[in-house]
Amino acid sequence: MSLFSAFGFGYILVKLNKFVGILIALIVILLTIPSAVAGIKNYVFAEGGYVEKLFYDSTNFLLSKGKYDEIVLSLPRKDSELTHAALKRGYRAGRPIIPAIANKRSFLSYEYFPFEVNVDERIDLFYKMLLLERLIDSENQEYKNLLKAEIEKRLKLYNVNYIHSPDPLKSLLLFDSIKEVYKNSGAFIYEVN
Amino acid sequence: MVLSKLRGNLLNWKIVSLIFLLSAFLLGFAEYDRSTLLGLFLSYYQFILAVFFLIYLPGKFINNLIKAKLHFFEELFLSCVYGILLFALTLFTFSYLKVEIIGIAIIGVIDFLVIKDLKKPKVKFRKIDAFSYSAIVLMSLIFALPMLTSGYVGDSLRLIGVNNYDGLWYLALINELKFSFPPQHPGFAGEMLIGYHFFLFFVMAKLGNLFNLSNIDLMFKLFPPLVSLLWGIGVYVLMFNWSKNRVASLFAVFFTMFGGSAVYIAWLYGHKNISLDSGFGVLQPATSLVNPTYAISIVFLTAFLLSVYKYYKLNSIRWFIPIALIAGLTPIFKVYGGIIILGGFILFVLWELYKRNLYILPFSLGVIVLFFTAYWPFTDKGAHLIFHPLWAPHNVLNDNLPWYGYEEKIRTYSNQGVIRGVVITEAFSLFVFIFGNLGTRLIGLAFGGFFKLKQRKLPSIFALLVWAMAGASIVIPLLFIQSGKVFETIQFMWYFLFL
Repeated sequence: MSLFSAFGFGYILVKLNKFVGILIALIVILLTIPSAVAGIKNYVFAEGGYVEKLFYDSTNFLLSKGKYDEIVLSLPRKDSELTHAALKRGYRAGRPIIPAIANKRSFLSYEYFPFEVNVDERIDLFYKMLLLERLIDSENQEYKNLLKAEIEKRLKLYNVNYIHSPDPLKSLLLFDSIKEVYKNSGAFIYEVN
Repeated sequence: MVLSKLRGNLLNWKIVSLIFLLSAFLLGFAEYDRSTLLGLFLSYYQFILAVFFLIYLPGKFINNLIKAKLHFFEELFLSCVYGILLFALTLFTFSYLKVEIIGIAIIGVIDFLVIKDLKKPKVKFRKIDAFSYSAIVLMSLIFALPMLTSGYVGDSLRLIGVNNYDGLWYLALINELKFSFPPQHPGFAGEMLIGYHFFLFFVMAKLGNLFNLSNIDLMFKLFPPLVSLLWGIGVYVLMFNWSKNRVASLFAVFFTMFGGSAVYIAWLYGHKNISLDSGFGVLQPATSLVNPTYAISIVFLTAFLLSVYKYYKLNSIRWFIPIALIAGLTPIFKVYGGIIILGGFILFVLWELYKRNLYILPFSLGVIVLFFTAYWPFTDKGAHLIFHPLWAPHNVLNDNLPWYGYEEKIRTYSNQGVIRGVVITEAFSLFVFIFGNLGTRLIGLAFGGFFKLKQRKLPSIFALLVWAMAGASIVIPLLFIQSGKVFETIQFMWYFLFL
């Protein structure tokens, strides 16, 4: 309706007394501007908004390695609630930051549109990896081996090249095919061969 | 003699511009820190030349083809829009065939054909025009601020507001489209990307590939000023053609960029917790650029209307070419904008058929072909509209104006069988949703309606077409919600506020 409305203001200034016309136009501009200012000031005078430094540094490392078609599996914190439902909630609260700034495809990042793919299968891999991490000091070797074999198989199946984690993961050092290639105090990256 | 000829050639601005292009291209291979001010300056240099050669000149080719006689700013605006579409279509076709290089070569040949006959532009500026265009540039720069404030800051990356969510998705898409086509889902490796209109990011990705421009700069520093300027200039030239009134044209630019709702009235009544820019359920346009697909669809919608207007004025069927190009390709840039433009195109075609102008038929077929080759393969076949009348106005009252007690009123009136109460409550919800969101635009609409009625003239067929498109853009969100993301259809209201 902005275009049609503009016709009206054209008429006001042409057909009415110029002083009245300008006065009406000024009042309208003054009444209109607050909502525009409210929107724009959120961006111009915003504080923060910086990508967390340690995370950003880790994405710069990924950026320097390989090509875009390599796949990064980005794990949640290792003390996350360990249920499929909680991990799925975490996934849905996430952002596609790895494919955005690390120039790598992501194994699983939440987007904003309906998309019929099997997310649960990938969430299950998160679950198993975090479970193995929690069981690392347990004596149930047989179960740990089962988990390890399953994880290894799935990482191969999905062609995962890197694992990005906010925490160091002792369990990944059990794998011959995985080695730590980057760390800072807030991000750890493991390469999968 | 040879020397003087060579000197003459060197001074030839066409050759000089080609040298600039080459320098911009070679700059892409240079290693420099793009997060510094100098880096940004060099990126602007590359981008301006990229836009001139890959967008403006191909667009001018279409203008030459249709023998359009345009003023400088009309020509600038339409060439850029047609150029974006032609560049996207050409690269899309050859990327699909895995021979993108041929697409680039074709753009090169088109450039050559245009440059061969290119004359120095004649820009006649009257003082009043200088004022108008200065105002447009100023408004465009302010309009672009919500994007310009994000990006590299020293050795950090800053993503403000929605840019920290949706912006990441756009960046991921550019990365994906720089690397592969058809694209995979960047956040779900191994799956094809469907259900998203990604063509704008395809254009960014291809420009980025050719000139080695960074995604962050493309997204936050380079495209926003371009789109913002196209928006401002486009709306101005459209309205100046239509109204022949500079004040109306400038007000149109102002309202389409900074129009506001009437939420301040609720503030005057003490309800200061309601957002000033989206309190009545529809985000006002001041931050439109943070949704780049919407912003570019507005530019296309403006170009569509200007092209249709030119056709009605000049009655040359050559204008069907760009009209069909816009109608066929907009859906893959922004599906909601595409629906509004396609709706307008269908009415346009029906009117032409009513006039027995059968030349429109092959162009209609062209639109169908473009739609089914560019848009359809990437649709999420599971997404659809659900009939749910007045969902949006009800939600505005429930969520933003809870003190009105909408639910309670409707429940009580329904239980007691007070039909008048139900009707008044529903009318209030519609009143708030429509008139509240129109805000000060209502004053212009009232005066415009009054003076038009006084003229006792029937509206033009063009005005009826725009009214019909505006009507469609409000009826859809009032009657339907979208599967998956129910509130998304509210975006149609943005087109309503624009038109």
